[in-house]
Amino acid sequence: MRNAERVLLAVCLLSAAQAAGACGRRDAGRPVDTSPHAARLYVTSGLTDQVLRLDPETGAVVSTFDLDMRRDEVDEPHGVTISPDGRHWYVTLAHGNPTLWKFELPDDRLVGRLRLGSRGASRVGLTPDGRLAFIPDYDRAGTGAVSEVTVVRTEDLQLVGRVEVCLAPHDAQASPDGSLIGVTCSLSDELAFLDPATLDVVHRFVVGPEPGSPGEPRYKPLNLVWSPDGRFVHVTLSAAAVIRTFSLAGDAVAEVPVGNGPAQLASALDGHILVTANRLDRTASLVEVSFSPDGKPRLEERRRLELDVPYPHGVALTPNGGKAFVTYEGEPGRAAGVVAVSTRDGDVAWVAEVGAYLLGVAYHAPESGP
Amino acid sequence: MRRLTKHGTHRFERVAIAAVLALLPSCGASPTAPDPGPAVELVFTSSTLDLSGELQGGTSLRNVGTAALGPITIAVGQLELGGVSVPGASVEASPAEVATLNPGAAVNVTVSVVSDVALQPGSYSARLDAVVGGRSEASVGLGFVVEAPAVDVASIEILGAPAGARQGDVLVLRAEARDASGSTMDGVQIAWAVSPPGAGLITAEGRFVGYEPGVAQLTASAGSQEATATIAVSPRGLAQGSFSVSGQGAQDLRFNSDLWVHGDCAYTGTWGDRQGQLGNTLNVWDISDPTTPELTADVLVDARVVNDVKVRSDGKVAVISHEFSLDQLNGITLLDLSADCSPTVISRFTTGLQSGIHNVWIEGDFVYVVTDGVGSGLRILDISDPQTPTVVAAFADSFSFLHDVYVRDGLAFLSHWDSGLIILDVGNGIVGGSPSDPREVSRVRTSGGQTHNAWYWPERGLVFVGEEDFNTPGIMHVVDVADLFTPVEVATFRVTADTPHNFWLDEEREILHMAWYTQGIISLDVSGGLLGELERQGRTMASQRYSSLGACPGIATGTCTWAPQLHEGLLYLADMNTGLWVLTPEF
Repeated sequence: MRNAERVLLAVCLLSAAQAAGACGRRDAGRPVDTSPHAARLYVTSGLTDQVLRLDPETGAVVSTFDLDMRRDEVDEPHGVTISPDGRHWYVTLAHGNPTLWKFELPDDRLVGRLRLGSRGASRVGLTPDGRLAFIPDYDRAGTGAVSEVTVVRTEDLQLVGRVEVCLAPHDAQASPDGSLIGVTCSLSDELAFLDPATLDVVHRFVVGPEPGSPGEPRYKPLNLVWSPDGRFVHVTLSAAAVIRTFSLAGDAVAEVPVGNGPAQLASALDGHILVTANRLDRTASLVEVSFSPDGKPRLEERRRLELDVPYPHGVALTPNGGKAFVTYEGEPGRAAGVVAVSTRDGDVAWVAEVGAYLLGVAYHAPESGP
Repeated sequence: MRRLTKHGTHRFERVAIAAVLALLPSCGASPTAPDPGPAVELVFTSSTLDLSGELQGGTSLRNVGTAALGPITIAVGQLELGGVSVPGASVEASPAEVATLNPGAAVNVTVSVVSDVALQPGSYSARLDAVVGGRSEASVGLGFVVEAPAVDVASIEILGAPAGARQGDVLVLRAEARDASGSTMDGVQIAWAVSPPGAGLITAEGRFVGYEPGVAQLTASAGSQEATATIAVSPRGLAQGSFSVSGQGAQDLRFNSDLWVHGDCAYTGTWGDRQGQLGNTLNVWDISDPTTPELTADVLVDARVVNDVKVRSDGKVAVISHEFSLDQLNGITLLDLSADCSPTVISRFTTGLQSGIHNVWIEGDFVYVVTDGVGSGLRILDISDPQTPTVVAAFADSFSFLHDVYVRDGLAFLSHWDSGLIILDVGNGIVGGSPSDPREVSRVRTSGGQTHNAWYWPERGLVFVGEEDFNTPGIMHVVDVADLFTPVEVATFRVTADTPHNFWLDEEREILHMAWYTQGIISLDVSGGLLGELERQGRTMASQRYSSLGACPGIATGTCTWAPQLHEGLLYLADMNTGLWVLTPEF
């Protein structure tokens, strides 16, 4: 078994050990589809330096990927994402030597790892053609230096460039047509747009009328998703407990209060449903996106999903938005895990207590989502 | 570290000899485990590479299979001369790691000899491996020759060679060359050699250390002349010592981290996630009776890792580190220790420290803080008002992240991972530095990088450096800093299993105690001069696990030693799995 991969296959595959608590699912007992074309859920376990692959139907752990570059040091796997063509998935390590790892689908084989040379690494944004990856460094060390987004050519994991953007960029996501990369600047209350062709910052603006001082944000923009038509960007403002929507010109065109500390944000494919994980109040918010006759978006919180788990962090949706998968970090005395919840009725489908300090999550359905 | 060329700091001419290369390992895989994936087919364009001349060269690595491969580590083994490694010299490959290699793709690999020491004339060898998933898939034998310069010498004589020495004793020999008139010739480069191979190491300057008990024949040559000296190397004669367990304070609710002992109190941090129990606690032990350490207090803070704790020398204030805190602010907490083994929180400071704090040091009114992140580096905090610390200075090297800091005699020794060991003046005055104006004195990258921890021994002008590398034999490096401006690696200590963690030096007895994770505690005789491969010199005084062999960290009780501290004749250990141990050295 390869050291770097150390794919501990079938760790919890429907085993009695799993049902006995190793994976702690509330929904044990259902069969797990482990076929190459099965839907799958990947989550990052920040304190155990692992990525876990779960069965989205049951929460069972299908396999575990060890990304531990330095045993007895925490390397913190952070962001995970699936390539648009469904042929690879990527994951970042945030601590030590920040790295971008590339795995091949459907067999989950490790095929590459790039040392980014950056101060850190948070989420991974891919262009629609999957050719470029954008990884913000989320440097919170307060050096005063403007920190960066690292750009990587995914085909051969070559460093394309590093773009100085703002203080502690956390998320970088490409517009649907690939013409812009939106970047959240968590410690400077800004949203920036990069041109992926030139790697220039082509526009930047503050996300609220009274931004905090550098390093002391009032809004703390953390994550973003684009509307399917590319005209708007929805951003979680973690310190303000809202999702705010911006036009490309930087105008705030819609807003909705959500739970405290909204962290990651996910959108259904058609853009009409958003879900954010509310890190500070054990909930997630289901937000409906509609449009007024003049074409302006409207946001409305349709449901507060009561998860009752500590520190919800990451969120992924099935393509039609019918089911949300929310990672939670855990707290003293309460393990970390994942909750699968129906966005239609708020019912919890399963809870899997797995890993430690769970952060990122990505859903992949090779054929079609439920 | 200086990159050598033939026009560089050394005067030797260097020519190739194919014979050396023919003896080197050939290209090919050395499977060690079943391969679950597609066949790995990597080839170097050559099976040997001659670095003579420029002391650098290049080859190409190609993926001739059908599957993408990566990451591929380009690993270089020890640089050896006459069967022994050469301290202070190594071969480095660029790139050190290939991120991925698609089918049919190739990458150029350059290798260079780097050295802080003069290289002896002779035939050197090393091995370059392309490692995928922990196993070598292709290799290249590296070699080069450093040839002694031509010189017309009539005679040569070795001076100062004693008849005998113990293993590990460092002898300084001198060879005198004379011309036909019998006059001493100055500046003649002497080529030294040891026979049989592996009997010991001799440097270009004539410093010899014996490895194997027996007879070592030393040859000094210049031009066509040579002289020999025979030295009987006797065993170092250290009795194998051991530790007896005098006390234990069990703590297996959480994983344990670092340790500090002051007076009748011991402090241990906590780490990570142990079945839902986070590393959010500083445990405090009453050790007034060291046979029965008693847990007297636990300080709960907002963290998932309390990696480090340090107590000021006056015993009044402690500092602990925060990582992965729930509020995402991290930082440090200062503790008031005025109550016996019952600390109270003075303040928590987070400004500019939100990325996480891995290690700390406290000295007078200053706290030295290691911030997480490449290029984040060191912060120095003024805590003269401990309620309101202020950042007064920062230092970072952008190449790598800072891992640890050790301060002594106004010098800060930064274990800066792949940037190496960096020495700062923070009040010593050698380059006019102060805590608010730290100034770099010098740096050295020990072979292998991954500089994890350091202990400075000013009386001997040495620094003991831990290399934390879980993929190779664990290595402790000895750096000579007698001249603080030109630190040089002079010796190593290797253990095949696992890797070292923190050290404590018994300076009076000249014994270095090293926490070695699953291997427990290893105590090394560091008396006398230190040169070469210390594990071959009979210097190991004790190597002991105090509980079973197990995972590290693991939920069971296996040994996983994090940190030692000698205190009033007893060795206190923090063990990740099991808590606090008190050992009595039986040597």
